[in-house]
Amino acid sequence: MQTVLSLLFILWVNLSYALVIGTVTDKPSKRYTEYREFSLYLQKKLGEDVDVLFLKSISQMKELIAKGEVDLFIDSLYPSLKACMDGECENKLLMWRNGVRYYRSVVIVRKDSKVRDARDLVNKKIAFEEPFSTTGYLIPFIMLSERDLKLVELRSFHDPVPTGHTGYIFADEEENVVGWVFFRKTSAGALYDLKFDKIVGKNRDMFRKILVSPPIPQQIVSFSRKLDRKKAKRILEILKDMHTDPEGSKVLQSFSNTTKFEELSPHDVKVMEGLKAKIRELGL
Amino acid sequence: MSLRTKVLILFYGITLLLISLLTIWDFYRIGSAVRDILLKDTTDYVKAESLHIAEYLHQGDYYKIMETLKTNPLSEVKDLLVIEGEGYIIASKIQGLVLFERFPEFESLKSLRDTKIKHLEEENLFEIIQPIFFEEELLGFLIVYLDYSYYQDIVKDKVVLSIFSALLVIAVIFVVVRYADRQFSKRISTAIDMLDSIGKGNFNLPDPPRDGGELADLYRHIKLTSEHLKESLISKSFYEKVINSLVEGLIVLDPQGGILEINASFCRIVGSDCRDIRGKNLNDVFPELMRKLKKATKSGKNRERFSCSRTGEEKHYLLFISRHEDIIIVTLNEVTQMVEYERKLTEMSLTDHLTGLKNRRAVEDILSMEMEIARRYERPLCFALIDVDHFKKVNDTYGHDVGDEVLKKLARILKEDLRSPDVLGRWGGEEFALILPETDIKGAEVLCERLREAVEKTTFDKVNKITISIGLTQFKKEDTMNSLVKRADEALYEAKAKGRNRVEIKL
Repeated sequence: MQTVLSLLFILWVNLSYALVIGTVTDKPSKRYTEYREFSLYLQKKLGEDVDVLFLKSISQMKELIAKGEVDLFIDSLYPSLKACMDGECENKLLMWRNGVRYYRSVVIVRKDSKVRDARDLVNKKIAFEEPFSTTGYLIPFIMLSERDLKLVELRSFHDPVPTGHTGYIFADEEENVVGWVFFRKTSAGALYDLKFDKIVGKNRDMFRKILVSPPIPQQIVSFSRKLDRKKAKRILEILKDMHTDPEGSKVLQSFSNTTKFEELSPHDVKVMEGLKAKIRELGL
Repeated sequence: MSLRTKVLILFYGITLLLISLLTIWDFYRIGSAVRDILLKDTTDYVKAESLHIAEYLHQGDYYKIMETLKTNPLSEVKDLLVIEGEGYIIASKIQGLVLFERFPEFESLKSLRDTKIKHLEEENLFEIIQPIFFEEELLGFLIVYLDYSYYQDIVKDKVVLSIFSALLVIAVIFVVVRYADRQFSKRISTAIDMLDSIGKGNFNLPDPPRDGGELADLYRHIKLTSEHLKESLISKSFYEKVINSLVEGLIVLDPQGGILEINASFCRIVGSDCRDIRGKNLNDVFPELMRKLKKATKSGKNRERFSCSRTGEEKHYLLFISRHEDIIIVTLNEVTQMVEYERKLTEMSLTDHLTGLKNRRAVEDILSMEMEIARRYERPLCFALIDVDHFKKVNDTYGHDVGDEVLKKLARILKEDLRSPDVLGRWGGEEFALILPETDIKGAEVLCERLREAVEKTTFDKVNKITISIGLTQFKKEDTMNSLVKRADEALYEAKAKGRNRVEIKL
């Protein structure tokens, strides 16, 4: 039923000329409610129809942004960088979540593990979260690559690691990442710090962090290059002021616990540009 | 407490008891059923889930294990644990994704059980342990703690519901019965009012309701009965008037003497209130009459004379006895006056009306009887004739009225000195006869002399003094009345001849 609902939503979007907000997710039904509240608020403030488009792949999203069929793209850092890689869109805003502007990616091992350093992961396995996760894939991948590890994807933790390489397996959920590390399915795992703290709770001492990334913006709002400049500016203003409006603040709360929208700082832009370069370099 | 109240209390009591028994039985049945279903469903669920969990464990998908446990449909499951190998709880329903909770004492499942749930019974928990195999490799265990308190809550809810239902049923029954009872009582009250009205002698009853039903029939029957009763009472009243107007006493008895009916005259005869007599036995009320009736029955008589002194005065009745198959009707006709009259008539024929003494006939009868006794038993008997001296002169001088008064007074003087067996009678005119039974001639002479002296000493009004002459004789075996009287007469003649005022004896 939820799938059908999503498809109908997409179809309806394609037939309309409204402002379209896009995001990448493989669980559209879970996100529908929060996006609907958000779009209705924007529609009210903007005075025109606002629709939402859920897609499962970044490449497809990138294509629709390029065609001008998606005007705003809201997602985590990695999909946002990938979508705007070739100038189709411009990363403009970041989203505070749970009162936090940034988060970090961590690579963890068991406390009793012989892995002391990232380089000890040669011939070992590491658990990543999912293929378009920023903190659970992109950032740790880059960090490990920068430490000369040759990363190779394995289908399962039961598979052997090619000699001289570091095998990585997607665990799909952060909980599994932590579990695999603890139950020695993999030697290490990567996820974002806040989630790690939440999962391990009182068992925090059973793990060690061997890598911690610099602060990374959590969610990014990207504007299509084809979006009218005036409208883009107006949307930007609405979103930036949203947390000051009681109604907007309430909508933000239900929108993945977003605290507020904030314009990216030059430093953020610089870091993101660096990451784009790395993505290109590593062929991610 | 009225019968109706008792019946209602009994009814409610039985209803409450039945409902209580049914409810208890229902609780037991529901409790057992819920428990069985709970255990079976949970066991089935655990077995089914163990297959999925085996797959997830093999893949290391702890998140899905957690989701599976969290979304289990058995709300009565207090906790669902998945144990990795024998070492760690990797997920539980209560705590979400535990992943690696290891207990200090954790060495085996037994110690886990001891540690995790120390008091299964106290906490009302069932433990179901399901090993998790993947391709014949034991990956761990799925442990389910079934919350019995949930089952108890269900039963408790059922208990409350059942009690509420029972009370509701009783309340409904109470209202219905009360309503029906009131309706019935209302109708019964009408019937009672009708009967009360009849009891008070008012037979003008309202028309019975026309709504049919048994009570309407009852009303119709009451009305019909009242009409019959009215007719009967009119008849009875008439009958009572008739029998109470009878001068004769009337009593109707059963064969044992039980009084079935009486009239006012009979009650007067008995000297009691009719209400004290009716329904009693005649033997208790009027034993002398009962004896008389028995006697008459024995002799087969239908008419009998009966005397009694119930009211202190002797009364005489003539009984007419009419015997029927099962009743005896007796009438008492008072004949006291007639008896008195008869008695007077008898007395009048033997008494001298002037002096009140026996007349000559009576004297002769008595003398005859005494002579017979004296002859048969050879007892002494004397006879004397007494005559007033010169009585003709009294009559001629003072008139007959004075003469009569003299005779009356003389009779009294003579009687005063006589003994009880002695008989004094007026023999005729101024002559008296004296019978002295059990007296010899000497004693008789003394007595006669005393009489003569008494008269001689007495002063009579107007006449002043009179005297008497007495001719005395004694009875002989061969005497007839004539011979005896003749000798006395001869002696009297002799006394007259010898100067009067004296006693002469002739043997």
